[in-house]
Amino acid sequence: MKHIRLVFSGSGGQGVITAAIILAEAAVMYEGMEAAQSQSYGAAARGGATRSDIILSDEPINYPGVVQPNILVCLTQEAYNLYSAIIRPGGTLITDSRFVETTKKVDARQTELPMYETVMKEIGKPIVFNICVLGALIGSTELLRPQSVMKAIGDKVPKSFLEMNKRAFDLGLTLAGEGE
Amino acid sequence: MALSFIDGNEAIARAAVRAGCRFFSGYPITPATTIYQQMLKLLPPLKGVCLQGEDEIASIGFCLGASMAGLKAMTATSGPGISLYSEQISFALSGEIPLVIVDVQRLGPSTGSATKGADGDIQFLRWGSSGGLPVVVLAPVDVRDCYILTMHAFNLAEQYRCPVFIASNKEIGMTRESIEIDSLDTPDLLTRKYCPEDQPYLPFQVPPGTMIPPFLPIGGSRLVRQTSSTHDPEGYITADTDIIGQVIERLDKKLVTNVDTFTFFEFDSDPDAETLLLVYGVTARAAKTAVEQMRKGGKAISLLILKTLYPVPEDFIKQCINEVKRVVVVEMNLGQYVREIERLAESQHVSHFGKMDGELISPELIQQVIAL
Repeated sequence: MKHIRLVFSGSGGQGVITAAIILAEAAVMYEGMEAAQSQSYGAAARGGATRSDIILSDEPINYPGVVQPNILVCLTQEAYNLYSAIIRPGGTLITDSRFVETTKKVDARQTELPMYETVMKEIGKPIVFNICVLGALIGSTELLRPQSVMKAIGDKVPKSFLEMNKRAFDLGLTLAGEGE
Repeated sequence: MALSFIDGNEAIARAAVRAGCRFFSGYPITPATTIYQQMLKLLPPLKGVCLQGEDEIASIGFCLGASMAGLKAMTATSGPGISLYSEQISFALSGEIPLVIVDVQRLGPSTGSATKGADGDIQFLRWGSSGGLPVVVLAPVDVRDCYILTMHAFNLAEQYRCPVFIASNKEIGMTRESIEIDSLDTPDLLTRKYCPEDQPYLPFQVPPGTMIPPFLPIGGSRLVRQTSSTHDPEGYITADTDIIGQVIERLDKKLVTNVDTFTFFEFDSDPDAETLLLVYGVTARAAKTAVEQMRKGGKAISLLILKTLYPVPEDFIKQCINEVKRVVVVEMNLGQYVREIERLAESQHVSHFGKMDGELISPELIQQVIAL
């Protein structure tokens, strides 16, 4: 049975929740899985701490909270400091090397990637940073087929922005490949 | 309709529209705002009205007016908004105005935490109106329930001419899940009974053998009177204590004596169990996992998930708890619905676990509580 628990964390405005929704939607709509996606954030629309929990499973999902994520994504230092300890031993931790300095040794496969810098250099728009993160996640975990996620992105993003999102997603996939 | 991936709030909005709701008014508040946003998308193409009031009091007031005019109406808020709704809820009770009120509960008291869940308003929904007459409170467990119970809520509001609450929770309203709407077991739609053309209309006259007065819309061709004060069958204010007493008794009985026909629940009974775990709302999801784990470990346990909280389905609850020696009530507050169970239990030992810190109660915690 496939039952994967993920936590995406960062700050308001980084697109953490949007990325989580796209990932879960891809699993449901294009891979026939069950998914539950929840979220919490502070009162501030920008800058506050943000977290989204996702469960992907072959079976119906009861409890929607994530206790020990198999996959943890941290996009700010604050999120990393707060959540790095909750990762399931042997899980995968993905951080952005511009925003997070990994300090503690956690029992996880740590993937530090220059996602933000690559997006800014190649595309110049921070708005697709979250999509690059999704690409890196799929590239390093092979959780879902890249084309499933790309289809879900297509469902969410206006047509005129699709090409830019595709580039960001591919950048993430490539970064993850180089990081192996 | 194929598979959807939507949150509880969107499910409520979609179900409301399918139930015939054509008027929504609200004032934005996390975690209920996305119901308003969905209604804003869904209602205008159907020539329905979606309106932001200047505050919560006005918003529910608009809904009362729309309902008096004959529309199926809904509003949605969270705890702080329910506080402001209070007097209008009493008006809906007294004037027998059908209305669906969604409370996407967030951690209180007061503004508390906007994106943290709780079930802290349960007794507040029941008792947060002047006079203390019964209301209907339905508690969804997941996105699927949000859809089904919203359709029932409209039916009950129409059938009994009363306010009906959906006691949702941030952890349901803002959690997305896969749902196949076509496969859901949804009820046939009911509409309030109108007074026939050829019969004289007294706004609060109840036909013999029934408990609900027929309806006519205000603003139509026939005269309608509406009031929140104690009134006689004609809708005139009265001080006649006999008439007042009869009306109050009817407002109580029309719901309490019929609750068996709208008791929604999931009862997973094990004949060998000595313990019954009783839960509602999002906590039921952790309870299902906990019960599954305990049964795998060889422990006999029964699980009752209540979805009709008020009026309290007393006979049904008694029947369930009579099967066991011990009842454990777990809820996301410091002990609210357990009070109803304590008064219904006879020989059964009732224990309670509640927590209100913005975190879901986990399956592990429920197992620990039951092992005590």
